[in-house]
Amino acid sequence: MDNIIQIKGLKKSYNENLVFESISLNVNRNSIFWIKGVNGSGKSTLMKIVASQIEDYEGDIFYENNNIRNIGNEIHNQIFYLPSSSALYQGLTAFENIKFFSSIFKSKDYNFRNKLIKDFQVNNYINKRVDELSDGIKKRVSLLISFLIQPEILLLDEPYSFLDTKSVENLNQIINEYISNGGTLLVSDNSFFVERLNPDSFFEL
Amino acid sequence: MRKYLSIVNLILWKDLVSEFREKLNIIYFLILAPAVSLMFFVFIGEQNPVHLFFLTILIINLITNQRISRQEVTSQGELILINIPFDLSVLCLSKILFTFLLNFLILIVALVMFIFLLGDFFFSNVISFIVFSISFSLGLSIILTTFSLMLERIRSEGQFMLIMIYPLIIPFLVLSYNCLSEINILDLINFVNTFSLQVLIAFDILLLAVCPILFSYSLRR
Repeated sequence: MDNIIQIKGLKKSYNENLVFESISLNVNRNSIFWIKGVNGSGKSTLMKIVASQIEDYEGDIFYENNNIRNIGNEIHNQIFYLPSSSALYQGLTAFENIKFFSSIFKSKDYNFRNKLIKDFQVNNYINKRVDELSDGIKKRVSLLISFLIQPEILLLDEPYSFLDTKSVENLNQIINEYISNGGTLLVSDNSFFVERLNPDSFFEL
Repeated sequence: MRKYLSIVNLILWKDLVSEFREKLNIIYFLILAPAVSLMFFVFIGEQNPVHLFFLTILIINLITNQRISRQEVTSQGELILINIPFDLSVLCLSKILFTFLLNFLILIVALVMFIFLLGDFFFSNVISFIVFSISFSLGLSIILTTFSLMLERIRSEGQFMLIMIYPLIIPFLVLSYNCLSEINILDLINFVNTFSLQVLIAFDILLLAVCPILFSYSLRR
């Protein structure tokens, strides 16, 4: 298996507070990579750096042997980071949010969109405004969007928060389909649901 | 460039839909302008309507623009569109356009209210007034949008950002006030040639070029 992501000597501080240092790791293509760690250990920060959301760090990150600092905004077509809180527009309906993000990421596979709506079981909430939805449904819609845009690498930060048991099972099934279709997943979550995915490798912060 | 503009369009559409779908928002925008106008008329009087009008639209814009950027961040302060495969200036530019439309709408509502209260159009030259309105609304939209977006995202540096706004807003307001004062004194040709208006337009162009880039750069840090 080849490395799709290589991290070399990564160090990050916020002002004078060191978050982590000397992190070196490789993520294999088409695999599930688990980032473990206690609260405040820097899991989200590490994911945001890999997703090029934070550019102020020391060390190097390579995506397919190209330093992500040199790739520019195009990197977001390949790497997508979903934060733990739902990243949706409250004033739009769930379906308008899905359409909006599909348009931004030029995702026009309507059959796949309908399949994900069914898989995430959000059919009944699709025309409701996001601010009228529960946290669990918001989370499902956010997850749906992240799979819909079909990035090569998907970074999910605490994907199981707010989800009930049935939704967790659905999510794990969708993740397995994503991996079998060639995707690579980085997941940060301390819940035992990640273990059920049988991650290929892990890193503990 | 076409792709960039199509994203600007998309974000602008999203803002228009989400803001104007909510009846309370529409009521808020349409009630606030007449209410503030009426309040100033009652308490200050109608001796100098031009300056009263400037004060009214400035206050309404400041109040209204505060909330525009809030929907762009999650409850944890994450920018929703930080993942987009475009430069983040696209977000700033589309918000500026939306705020400009909103500020212009507010200006029209306030103007209608003033005409109703005075029983007369108090600017001697309509075209001069339109030129001023566009320049003023655009400049104010750029400054307020950029800084409110940055403030929502960089909360820990909020005080510093607030101080940074002064060197931009103070000269802008002085220039705008001077322009407005000259509308009723000069004809259109002389008004267009005034130093205040020319600097105000130059200021708008400079801000429009610099603010989206500044926004994009600061958010990636």
